[in-house]
Amino acid sequence: MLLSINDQDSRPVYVQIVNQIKEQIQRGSLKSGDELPSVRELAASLGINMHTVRRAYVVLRDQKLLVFRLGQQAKVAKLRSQPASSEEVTAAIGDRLQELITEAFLLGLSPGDFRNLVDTQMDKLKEQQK
Amino acid sequence: MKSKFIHPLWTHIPAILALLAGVVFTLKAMPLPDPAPLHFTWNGLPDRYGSPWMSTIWQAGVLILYIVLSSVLDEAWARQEKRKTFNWASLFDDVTVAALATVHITYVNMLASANYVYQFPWVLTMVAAAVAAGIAVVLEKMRPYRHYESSLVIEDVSQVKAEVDRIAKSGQPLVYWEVQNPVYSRVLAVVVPIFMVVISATAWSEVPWLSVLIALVGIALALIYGGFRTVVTREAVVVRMGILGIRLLRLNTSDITSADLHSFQPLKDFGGYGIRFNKEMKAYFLKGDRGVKITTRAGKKYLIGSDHPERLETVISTVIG
Repeated sequence: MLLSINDQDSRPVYVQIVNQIKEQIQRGSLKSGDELPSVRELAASLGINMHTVRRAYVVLRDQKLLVFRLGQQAKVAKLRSQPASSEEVTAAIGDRLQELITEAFLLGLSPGDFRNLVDTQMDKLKEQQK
Repeated sequence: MKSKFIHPLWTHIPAILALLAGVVFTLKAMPLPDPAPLHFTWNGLPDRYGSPWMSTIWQAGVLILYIVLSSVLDEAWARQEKRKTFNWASLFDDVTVAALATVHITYVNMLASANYVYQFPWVLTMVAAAVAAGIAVVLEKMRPYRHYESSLVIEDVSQVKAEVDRIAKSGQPLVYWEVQNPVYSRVLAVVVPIFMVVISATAWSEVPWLSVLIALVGIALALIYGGFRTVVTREAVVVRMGILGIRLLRLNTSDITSADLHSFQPLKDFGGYGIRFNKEMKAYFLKGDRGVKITTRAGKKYLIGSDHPERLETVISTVIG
């Protein structure tokens, strides 16, 4: 697992950790059952507060991407084999998608431009997975 | 169906037969007297009595443990073979179990005879061990060679390299983390300590100092729970062990001159797994046969075993510049 913290990034540190772990799961660098560092170890290695790492892990656990119990090493959860239901998708990414569409609209993008942007990003992800 | 064991399990037949013989003789001798003599003087006279089942069950447990440990050791040997070689260690369980089973059978016979004088069966034990060793040698010679296909594949790390390069140039804090935590180390850290603490509790009334020693060794083994973790940051490469994160190795990145991929044979080159030494280097690995060899400015060499050696080598090479 490779993580870094970007001080120039406006996003909170815990969000940066969450996103990087998600990207590595999506790329296949982190697989189901892979162990993650303890909160204390990761915080010490990155020079950040333990609560920040804990918050990131809790977010990932709530999104069913990590499993951990008290006193146990955090592990990558078993990834779902079936696509999520539309209700789950709406709950998980509906609001954020709405925000992105609004921002795209305010930046002057047409619906077609936005779709192209999504397609380009999807192609990039597929390329990374190869 | 092709067995997933490289070292065939039938090479353990002598040990299994000896174990079964012990079980059969015990069943035939039932009911065993209770209390039964458990300990004898040099003259063969009993000086301590107790339940015969406790010693019988413990003995069976220990024999099974010998067979399991020997199977694991043989499998590890076979997986690193580049060609068929005679594995003397494969005789370990056959000889030991045959000898111990013989001792147990003569003990049970003595209980059945109700004449509680026990002369240690030196000759019979040596004959049984020799016969078992002979059969084991034949079976080991008959064992076919099977090439072990390592599940590790050469990884394309171009993406990792690009990512690490980007982070390195940006000056951001970086951490790379990986773990070696094989099933056997979890068993060693959980099952064996429980086993030892139970032995320690049962031995407490007889030899307190020994039971404290056994319990301490059990607790020490429990500390390896969690395996070995390798952490690479801009400042250092650190290897930690177990649940408490005991630091085994810390190398400042400024002291490292090179990091190279390294293949090795765990048993041949280092005599096993764990924290090992040979003439050339000190090594830290719990599984596999590949890792990263680090050389320091002082000329010292260290080997860190890895499930993703290409990634680890890329990250270390990048952080040392």
